[in-house]
Amino acid sequence: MKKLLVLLLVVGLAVTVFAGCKTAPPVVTKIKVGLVTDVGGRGDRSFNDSALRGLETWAAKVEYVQGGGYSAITDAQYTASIPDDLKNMNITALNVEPIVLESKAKEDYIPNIQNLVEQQNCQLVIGVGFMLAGAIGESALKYPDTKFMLIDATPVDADGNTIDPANVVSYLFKENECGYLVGAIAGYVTNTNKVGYVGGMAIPPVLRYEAGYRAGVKTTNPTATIYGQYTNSFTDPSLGKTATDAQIGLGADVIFHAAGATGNGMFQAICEKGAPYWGIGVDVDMGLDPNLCPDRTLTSSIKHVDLATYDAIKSVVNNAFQSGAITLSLKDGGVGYAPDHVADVLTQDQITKIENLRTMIINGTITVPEDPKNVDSWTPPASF
Amino acid sequence: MQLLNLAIAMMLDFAAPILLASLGGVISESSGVVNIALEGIMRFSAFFGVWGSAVAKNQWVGLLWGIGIGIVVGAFHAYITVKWAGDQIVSGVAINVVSLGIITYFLELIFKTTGYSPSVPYFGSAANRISLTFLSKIPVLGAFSRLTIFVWLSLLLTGGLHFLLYHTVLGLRIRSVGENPTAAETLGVNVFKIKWFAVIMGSVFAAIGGAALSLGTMASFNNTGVAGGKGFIALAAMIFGKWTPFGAMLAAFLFASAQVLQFILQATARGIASQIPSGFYSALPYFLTIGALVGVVGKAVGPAADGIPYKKES
Repeated sequence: MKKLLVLLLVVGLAVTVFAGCKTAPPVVTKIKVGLVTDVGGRGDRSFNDSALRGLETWAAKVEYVQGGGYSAITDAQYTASIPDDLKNMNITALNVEPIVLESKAKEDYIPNIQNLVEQQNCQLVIGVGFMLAGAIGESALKYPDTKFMLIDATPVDADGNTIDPANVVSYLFKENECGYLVGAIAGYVTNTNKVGYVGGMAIPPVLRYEAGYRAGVKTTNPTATIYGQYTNSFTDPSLGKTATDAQIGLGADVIFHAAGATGNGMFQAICEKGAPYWGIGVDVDMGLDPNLCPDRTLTSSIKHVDLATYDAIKSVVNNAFQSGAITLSLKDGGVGYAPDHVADVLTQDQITKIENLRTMIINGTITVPEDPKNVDSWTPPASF
Repeated sequence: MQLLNLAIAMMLDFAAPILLASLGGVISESSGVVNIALEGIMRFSAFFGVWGSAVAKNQWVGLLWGIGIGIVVGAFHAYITVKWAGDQIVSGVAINVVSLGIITYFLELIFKTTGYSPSVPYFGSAANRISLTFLSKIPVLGAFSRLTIFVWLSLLLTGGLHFLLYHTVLGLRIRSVGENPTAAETLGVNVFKIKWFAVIMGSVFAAIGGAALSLGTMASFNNTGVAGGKGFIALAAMIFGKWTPFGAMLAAFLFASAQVLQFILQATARGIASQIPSGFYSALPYFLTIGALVGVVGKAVGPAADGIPYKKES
């Protein structure tokens, strides 16, 4: 009886093996694009999700389903996924297949990239975030035939020296410019003349946000006090909440965070307090996220990681890939601020002034500092 | 004065999960079973709490789910370490590691994400806080006017556990089992039953602490931030507090005060002080804790038979 069972199992296995061969789909030449998330991972409502939108939703026109598969999305869903300020950017579905690997720890970066290159044969591998600079740099040297895209940083080799291999494109953002505009808005909105800033870790993109924000507040409200602090974590909302509660206790009524998931705690604190406190989101339009605090989200400082990801994929699809560093700024619409509640709180005159500031940055009249240390010596524009 | 009240309230809020888990450690180790799975149990109950709250649209159900999973995990730990006299550290590490994988799996299965669950009803919302408005204007006491239920639970349970351990027969038995199980056995105490009880009770305490993280402070579960080492801090608080409930409370308060202090100091740093790297502030709670441990607390001696599996001589 036992032998019969074994025999049946073997036959069953053999049949399914062959069945697999039989039903194999006809070979479609989809370009495989791999993506390695930062430790924040899928569902961080911020940075990683933005990159995933560029790859999965816009480039591949699919939606992630639980368990690891994808299902197609409708044209209506596709159009709805593109925000208003990117409607004229010519975003259309491309012939790509996304393969996403999530990193649970920093040690996962290199094995994930290795997997995408060696097992999955991806033509393009995307590394999301500053933390992957080393992993992408080392892998780019190891696999010269694969193209790499790095967001928020330029690749570095094993010794930490910046390198510029011919198969890596880096996308950087002028976070100081969008940070500046939300800072200018915060300077107008505060009633207590005190505003707050919660940073994750003091890495260059976050420091640029801080520098821009401080400069923006200084422009529209030179007498305002700015409480700023770093939680040294992108992943612990309870720290973000404690930091926000402390700043509210000190009198701040408008608080901006650039702290990834730690910042979710800022919105939690703002939501519990309610009016008159305002929170300002980061990276994506957090005012649209029902899980945060849409009612008290003044605006969000946006950087279009999704657009950068999409552009890089498009360049590979169209055989137009170029290595080097690309910096997206206010000028090309790569950064900006979300409308959220701005129109409800600012006067028309103030909104015009904010738009003037935007124009002045674009045409070079204002240069926003990139390092918070330089803000004190920086002179805001006299008239705008 | 407003700031002082707020700082105390923040401190209590931050300390509650650590204190609750620490109390769990105290009761479990008093009976001689090391429980380094506090971190994992907190993760389990934080997640199940959010799940329950999401399913029932009610935070109380969430708390019950959290306690429920605490009992299950505690029973598992007791099964390994008491029933089979397995290595307590290995079992604890296993629970911590399993919690990482299994919760990621559940998170994806239930909430379609591996990062952050959606928001659910929770105890920290204005309506669900315990409001004692008459206190709000009084210095120091004002801090107690708008706390969550978890803070009150952590304070009450500290007193409750102290009473249980030092003023009841059961407490005496628990401690005797932790100090000298063989002697306890000869006096007719059922060592295994006592250990089972203490381990499961300890897990329940830690589970309430875990629920405090996801349903008290936050209204959602996030995979990378919960418990974020708070289970291990709780373990340290337990040793720091010399395995007593009130000692654990002081240790948790010291750590949480330092945490709140560093936030206020960092935010208000001006001039030359603003040049201090933020890492210094982040390390401040740990510096203070080590300083207090070396300077004030002195030698901490745990229960004599702590960590030694008990086997009946046959």
